[in-house]
Amino acid sequence: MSRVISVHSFRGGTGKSNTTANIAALLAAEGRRVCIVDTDILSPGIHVLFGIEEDDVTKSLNDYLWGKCNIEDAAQDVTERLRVPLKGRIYLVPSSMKAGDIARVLREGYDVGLLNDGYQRLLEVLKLDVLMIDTHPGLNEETLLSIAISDALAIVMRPDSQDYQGTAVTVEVARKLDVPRMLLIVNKTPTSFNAAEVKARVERTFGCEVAAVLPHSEEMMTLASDGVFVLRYPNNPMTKLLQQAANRLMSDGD
Amino acid sequence: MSIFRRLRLGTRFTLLLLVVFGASIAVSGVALYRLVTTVAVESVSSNGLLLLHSVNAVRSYTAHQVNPLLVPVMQAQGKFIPESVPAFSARSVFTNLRGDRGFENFAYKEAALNPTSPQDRADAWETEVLMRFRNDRKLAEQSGFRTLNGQLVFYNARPMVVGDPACLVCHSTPETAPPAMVQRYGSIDGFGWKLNDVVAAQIVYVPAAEVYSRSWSTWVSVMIVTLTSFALALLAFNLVLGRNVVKPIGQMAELARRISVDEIDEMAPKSLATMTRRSDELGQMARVFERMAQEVYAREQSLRQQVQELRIEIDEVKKARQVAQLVNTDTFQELRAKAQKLRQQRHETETDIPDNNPVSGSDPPAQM
Repeated sequence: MSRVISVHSFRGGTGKSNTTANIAALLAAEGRRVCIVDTDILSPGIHVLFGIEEDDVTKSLNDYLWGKCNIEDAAQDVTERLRVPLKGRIYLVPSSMKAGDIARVLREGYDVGLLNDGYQRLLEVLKLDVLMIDTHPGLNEETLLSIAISDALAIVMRPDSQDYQGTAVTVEVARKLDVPRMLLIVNKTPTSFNAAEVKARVERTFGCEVAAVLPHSEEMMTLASDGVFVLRYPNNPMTKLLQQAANRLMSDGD
Repeated sequence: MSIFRRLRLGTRFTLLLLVVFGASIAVSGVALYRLVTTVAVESVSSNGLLLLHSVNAVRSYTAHQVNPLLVPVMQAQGKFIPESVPAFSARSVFTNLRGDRGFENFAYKEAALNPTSPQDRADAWETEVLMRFRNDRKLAEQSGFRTLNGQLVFYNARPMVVGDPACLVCHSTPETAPPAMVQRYGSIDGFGWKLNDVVAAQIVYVPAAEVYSRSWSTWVSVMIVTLTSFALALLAFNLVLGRNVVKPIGQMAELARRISVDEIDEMAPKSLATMTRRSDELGQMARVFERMAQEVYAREQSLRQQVQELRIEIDEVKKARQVAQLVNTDTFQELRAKAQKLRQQRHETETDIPDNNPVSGSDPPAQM
């Protein structure tokens, strides 16, 4: 059975796209067919991790939403770009990086209903096991739709007072949408923090399972900015934590 | 070069010093060997020269002072007195010399092809020396090494020329020679000499083996002293390097490692205590390092304190208001109603008709 996973964060800069890419890679490494849709149309970024540049994108999610093509035409197979042999496959539907296209979305918006049709079609045409949606921060209409139709939702947050209020609202709203599985990922945790303690405290405060507490360090930032971390450093403790998060997202609960 | 770089610091220095020491020992060894050999040759050759000159002095004394006294005696008595002959006195003096301790292996010979006394007959090697003098009248001296009776000796040779017509009294024909001499030595050998002939090679043999072995042992002892002092220097250097440089660096590296893997505790900076008392550059570095480790530890501690103070504060009233703003809209309620249906629908579609393409019949996109 295929699974739709949304990865969301209330604010930007939490490392949402990075987490999405790494979890997708781990799932594909286990032999699954995975597609990532970058719905962060206003500030696309996940393509960078797969080494895709503006010129590599001939068709994007924008083209589909404006009725210029089928959504599968915008899906790129990025498996080979990772330069690590994977048992499964990873596809990416990027958002347009062209300033004009971004401005047009801001000006005109798009038919949110098309997104759901697109997801549906990707699942079928690409015979996907997992569809991962890299959402736009905040809680606008298209984000709510993505969350609503997901089988699992991962909310990425930092242990930072700026993230607490928004994350609490997001958790509450997602609960009202009856998302079957919801998990928190605490990212960029200063290494001096005790991970177990942070996990316990966050779970108690938000009433929601924490799938992983990921540490933050300068070294990690340097390594992570350049490609998909888990494939380059398969034995790093960070990779183990992301694998744990991936496993929790794929499971149906305890 | 890459192997060299992979070596430990101590090993690297030792290797480098070994190369330098090895090269200097080789160079100085060769130079010293040449020097002692030259000294040995000079010593034996000056001995030989001294003897040759002494012998010639004796000869000259005999010829000019003894002989004139004995000639009338021999004539009066009608007998031959060998003491009147320079060669005889030379040989006798040398025989006496050989009787002294330490001079047993010295030898003197007036090597001739046609000597009056058979003792003076040249052997094959001496004949060659003599022939060289005969063929080259300008050649005044020959010297070098040869083996005589199984021993290495240094020889000094000079040509003997019949320069005095008086010599020919005894060495031209048996008829002109004193009858007493012919009676003693026979009428065959030692005649037929001519004026200005090179009749013999005057050769002095000085034993060289001993001098050589002495210089060899001198060389060996100097080399042993040199090698020992180099070995001691190397040992001392390694000890000093190990104690004063390698070990302290190792301790600092260990502390740095502990800091990097977050293993630092209150006692960790104190591991450099002995080093920080040093006044040299490493002591200075150790003090900086110690201070750094203390700072890191202190910062670590204050961060740990912070994690205990981590409070997640959420304004529940504000949260309720924000959620209500989002949820209490028609769009949201619609979405909520639709969402479950959509999820269900999807899973049903999937199990029923996995290959159904709602828009067109195209295949999955090829890899890009």
